[in-house]
Amino acid sequence: MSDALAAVLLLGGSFFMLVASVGLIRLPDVYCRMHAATKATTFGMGGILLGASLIFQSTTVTTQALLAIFFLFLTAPVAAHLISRAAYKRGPDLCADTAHDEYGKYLEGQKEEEESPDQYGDA
Amino acid sequence: MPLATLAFTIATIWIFLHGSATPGHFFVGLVLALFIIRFLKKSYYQDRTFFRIGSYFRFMRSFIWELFIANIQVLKIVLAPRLSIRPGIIPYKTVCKTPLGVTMLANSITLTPGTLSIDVSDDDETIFVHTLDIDHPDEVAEGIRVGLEEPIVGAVE
Repeated sequence: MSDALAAVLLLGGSFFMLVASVGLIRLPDVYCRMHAATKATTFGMGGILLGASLIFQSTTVTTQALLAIFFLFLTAPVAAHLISRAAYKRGPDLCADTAHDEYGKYLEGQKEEEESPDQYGDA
Repeated sequence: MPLATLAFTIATIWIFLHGSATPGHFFVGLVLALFIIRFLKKSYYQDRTFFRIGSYFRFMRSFIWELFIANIQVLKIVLAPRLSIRPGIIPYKTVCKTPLGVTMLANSITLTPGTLSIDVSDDDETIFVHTLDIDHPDEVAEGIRVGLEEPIVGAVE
């Protein structure tokens, strides 16, 4: 029984990893791709780790798997956040379908503030 | 949590990660804990003795549910024969005040349906969210508010 459950978890996990990879290829720009890369990989990885802990049936492996899942959920979004932020500031443009961009306006506003230094009274 | 307790907690987690509970490894854990605390104290250390456990579990439940939905959604978008996404970036005004709250919220936004946090404004009040469904910005914001922000405010603020 637990073997069957482990198999389901492992296969399901691998499937979501596959979905993430297909997403990386199909989606149009770096930001959309991060959606697939973060969500589906954390979920897929979680499934694979849980499946592994079911197979090994040992306290050590289970705690390690649970901790790995926990840390994965903590770190994956941080990486995605930094990658997309860096991408926005340095290079790749938003894809042509992008309908709305408030972040660009915010950065423009910041630039204007920097260009008028008298605002800070250090002229 | 007092710093000593925090250090011992980190050392214990290290023991679990390592899988062997010898005094030597506990000592290694303590040394690591000192480094971690040394570097992260400024940004995250808050003088709080305990989490509100009940609200914390409420957040976890809500979060896991959102995570589940998010993956089904990614699945649908990626495997659909024709891509039907309308991406865009919207600002989200947060009511979270503490660095821990804002961090948790920005992190959770990335892992939940159709949203990805790109940046936080300098005053920590606005999170810029990349969404795959720009035609319904109010629904996106409402989803974040009900599904994530309220549980987080209940748990750590």
